[in-house]
Amino acid sequence: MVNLSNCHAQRITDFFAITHINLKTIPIGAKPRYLRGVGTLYLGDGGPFWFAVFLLIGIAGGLLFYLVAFILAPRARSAIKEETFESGQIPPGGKRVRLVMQYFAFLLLFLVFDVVSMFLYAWGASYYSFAPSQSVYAIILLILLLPPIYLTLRVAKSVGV
Amino acid sequence: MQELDKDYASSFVKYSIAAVIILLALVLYLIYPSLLNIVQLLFSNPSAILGTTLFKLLIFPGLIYVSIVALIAEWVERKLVARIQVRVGPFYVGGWEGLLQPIADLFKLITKEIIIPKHADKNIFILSPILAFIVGALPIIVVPYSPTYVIWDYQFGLLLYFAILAFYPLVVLLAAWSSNNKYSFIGGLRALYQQASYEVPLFLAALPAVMLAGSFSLTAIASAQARVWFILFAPLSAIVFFAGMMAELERIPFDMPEADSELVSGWTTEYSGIAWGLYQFAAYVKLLAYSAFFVTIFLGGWQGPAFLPPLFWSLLKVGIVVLILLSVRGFFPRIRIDQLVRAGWGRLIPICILNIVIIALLQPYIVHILG
Repeated sequence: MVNLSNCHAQRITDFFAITHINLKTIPIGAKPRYLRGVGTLYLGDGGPFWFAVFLLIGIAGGLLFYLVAFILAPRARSAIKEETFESGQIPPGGKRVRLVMQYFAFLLLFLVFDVVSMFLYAWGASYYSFAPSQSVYAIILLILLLPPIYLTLRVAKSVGV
Repeated sequence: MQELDKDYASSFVKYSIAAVIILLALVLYLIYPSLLNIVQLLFSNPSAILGTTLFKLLIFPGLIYVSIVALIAEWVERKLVARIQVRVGPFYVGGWEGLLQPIADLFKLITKEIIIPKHADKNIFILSPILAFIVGALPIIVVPYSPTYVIWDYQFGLLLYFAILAFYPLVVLLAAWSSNNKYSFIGGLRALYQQASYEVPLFLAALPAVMLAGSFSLTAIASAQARVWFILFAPLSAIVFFAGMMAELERIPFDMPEADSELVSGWTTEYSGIAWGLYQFAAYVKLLAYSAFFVTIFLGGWQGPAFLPPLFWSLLKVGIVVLILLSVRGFFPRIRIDQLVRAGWGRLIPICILNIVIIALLQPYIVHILG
């Protein structure tokens, strides 16, 4: 069985922080029937709760825009209108477009750099607590980041992209 | 003449009516206690409504504020670029200087036909504009406008901000792939290279703010700038962040993804009507989100002389940054994709690293000034 220490449990409850609101102070006429017997109501008031509400409102709003558009807008379908747009030409070839990804190497470089910059954030957040001599290691790491970039750029130039 | 496919729109309308009803009911169920709370405050203490999270989410740093700013930004951009290029710009709608042009545009887009191409992946094609809008709008919930005007004062707000905006290239690629059009796909790939190349400089350029404030919370970062704004310690990072911001927003000079003289309209080629309108809306919302973030981490957020409220200073600074971002479009030509990738990796990242090294070396002095 997993044994969560107090510290972890505390953090989890902090993350889903909930507060309660006292319904007794609300006039009885303003309350719907299913809440009349309830004294206090728990509601999420932490950030994640509002994050989720925002997400739901966003999805509903976008769909509402579409609904209004599909109801208001005229629809006159034709085969040539629904053809793929190619500046007036009838598109030749197969159905699925495939292209060469020339700069794929830079996407791989991106994967590496994203992880490294995450480590740098872990170092940077303790700026006020480390001794000046300890930043030498981070500076070495930062300088080590430069050669791969220039190597990639040189290889890319020699390949012709 | 080929025959038409089954009509996609009718089934979409059927399902989306159900989805909207379910979602709105769920939202109403979730926010019902706070709605009651607001009704209660309306009679007892109306000014306290401004402090409730529901008000913040729906009105001020939230949805309605963002929508209004997006509409105003569209008008300002068209007017400003027109003045720079010695044109008149929008003029007739709304009496004074075409002020109601954005609303007229909105109505025009809503009443236009949404054409769904035959070979498109129809569900993703229709749903990715909504995704773009959500991804553009979500980051504003961690950005503070004053010590109290923040929806979620999250202790890792900066990381959450980047985590949400990192989804945007994915949305672009979904739109490009589902359109199944050559122009869209080339534009989508360009957007992917561009946003992936400039994500790292952006991320590294925000590091000095975290170092100097000693916290990931955007509220803490803004309040740590009470004495000195971080742009004075990290001017190079601020420049890099500004450039990266423009690249992520696909604004001229970084607008290869929708280069209208090469690719018809880039990855939005196949979109029409309100689907295209949602992408434009998402672009302006993202513009606001990035400007507010830039102001928070470099320009001191709400900090300013005390004779005016903090809210005024943060709105003023955000307005100025938005104006600069919009006006850049009138001055510069477009650059090529290889120049862009080369500049991103070969120039901006070394400049960022230089600034981080300088801040690390000057640690004793900076700690003395700030702490």
